[in-house]
Amino acid sequence: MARLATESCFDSVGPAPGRAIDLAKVEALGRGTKYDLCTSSAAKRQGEDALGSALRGGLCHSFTGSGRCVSLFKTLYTNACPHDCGYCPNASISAGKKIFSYDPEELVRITLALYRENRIEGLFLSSGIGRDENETMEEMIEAVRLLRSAHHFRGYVHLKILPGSSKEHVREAMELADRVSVNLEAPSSARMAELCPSKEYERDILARQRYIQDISRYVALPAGQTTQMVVGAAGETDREIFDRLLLEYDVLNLKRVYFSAFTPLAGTAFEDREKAPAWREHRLYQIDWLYRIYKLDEGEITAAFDDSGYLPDGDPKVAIARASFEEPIDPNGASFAELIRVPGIGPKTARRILLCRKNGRIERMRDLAALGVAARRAGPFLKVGGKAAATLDRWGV
Amino acid sequence: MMRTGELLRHLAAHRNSTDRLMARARTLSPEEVEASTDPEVLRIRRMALAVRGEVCRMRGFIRLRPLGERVLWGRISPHHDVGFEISDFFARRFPGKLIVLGDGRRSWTSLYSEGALHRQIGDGLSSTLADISRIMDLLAEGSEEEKGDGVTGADEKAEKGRDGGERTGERAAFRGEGGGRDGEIRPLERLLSKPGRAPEGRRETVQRSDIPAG
Repeated sequence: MARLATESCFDSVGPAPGRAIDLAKVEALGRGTKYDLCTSSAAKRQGEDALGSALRGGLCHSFTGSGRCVSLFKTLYTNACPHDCGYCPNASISAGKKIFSYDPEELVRITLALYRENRIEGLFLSSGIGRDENETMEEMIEAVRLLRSAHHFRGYVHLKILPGSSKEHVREAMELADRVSVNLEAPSSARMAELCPSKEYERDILARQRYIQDISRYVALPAGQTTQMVVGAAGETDREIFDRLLLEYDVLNLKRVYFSAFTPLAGTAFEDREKAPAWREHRLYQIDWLYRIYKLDEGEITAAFDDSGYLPDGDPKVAIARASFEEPIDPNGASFAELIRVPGIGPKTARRILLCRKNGRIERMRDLAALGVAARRAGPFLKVGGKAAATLDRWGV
Repeated sequence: MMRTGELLRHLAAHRNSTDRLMARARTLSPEEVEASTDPEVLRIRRMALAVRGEVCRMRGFIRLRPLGERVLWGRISPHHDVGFEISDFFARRFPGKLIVLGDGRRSWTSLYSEGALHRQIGDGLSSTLADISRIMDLLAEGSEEEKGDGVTGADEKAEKGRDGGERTGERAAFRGEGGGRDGEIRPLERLLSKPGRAPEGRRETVQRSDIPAG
């Protein structure tokens, strides 16, 4: 990110003399978002004579050191924070922390420069609380307002709503951003007490999520409300996380829930805790997909958890299929709902199978493979040309 | 599922595309393209997806640099014929800016201004940028005589755009090359005289050292 900033010392009217960018700041505030996740948008905005456009579909530009793909200028507004979340490098007790803050104009200048160079598709702005959540929220909103109105910026903006922000600030943020989010961090107030004793789960977080839900009845939010949880820092089970996820989707109408596997960082209260394995985050995302995209119901998904409420390190879809399929199914007669429950067949492939069936029966595994079926994984669950493939290891490991 | 228009556009841009494949693709419904197991249809689908993938990749990874206030340029060397698809995209994103993309041999210039898209094909990136900066200098000086003289060279170059005469038949007709459909081929000078977003009364100045070599 520091390298990006060096190359962006020009603004909308050419080189910006005497406006050198504080690289240490850009770097520190960029790194401070380690736990903040963002992926694609579903927003589309474009207009005559406006600067910029947001793309429908995934945003995908460059890769961070940890291999994550980022296409947004992801940064904190300030890393000052009175809270002491045990995992967080921006916690007030964090050893050797140097405080940095942007001001709105500065942040706007950097964002526009990066956008013109096509290094980013938009801005992902998070922050520590600073001196006061409403003061900081106000400045973050001001930065986005400048982008949108003074610079006609139509790129993507994801704004974090700070825990405890006022309803008025939430509304203003929603009028400007494509997506807003409040970080849950923990699946329940009991776990939150473990992670961060100074945050009030119900009042600081859930209440703000409900504000967003209320306001979205009259303020259109193109990419919806999302949230994220830190996984594995507070001893919570995957089942607890899944139960919270159900509430977030069904009661609060969230668009996405993101997970971030805990990594102990030097200088934080949790520096000696064990790192959560990356696969745990991955398995949770698979469950999220099965619920949200595949529309499996809660009862079916329960089969993926072990007795103690954790997800083993194996494909949860396979575990669920083993528990639910009595015998292999014939792709010529199966319904869409049956097809997408087969490991190796996703919604897109299932739709292709239905289309293809209109022109005749599917009798060969090779044809299924041409339609996108992962033949090796799907084989045990399918009956093609009258016989089941690979029956022997069907229920094996 | 890919719409027919999109399929034909991508297929036409594929470097191994032929009139025969284009004719076949015209007979296919989006459903057939999506779900056929016929080898040739599969091939058509894969070719269109390859082009779409290249467009997506180029849009994502290209880095643009400013040249004066009117121009953003970047280096691309696409495998398929997608130069304008990418330059048009950025032209729409940055209205009033001349988007110049290319490599040592070819360049694509797009400008979105007053609700219309303008295009210009050219030789290597550096020669196009040199032409542009010369024209901008002349426009800034505002001398009618000199302007006329200076632009002739660029004009000729522009009219001879190396891509213009190469395509024939189905593909060229579909892409509307030679000045049609959604982009006109216009001399650089006329593109540059389109209104930009440069502040009133401010002179366009270009550092020669900003122009890439080779």
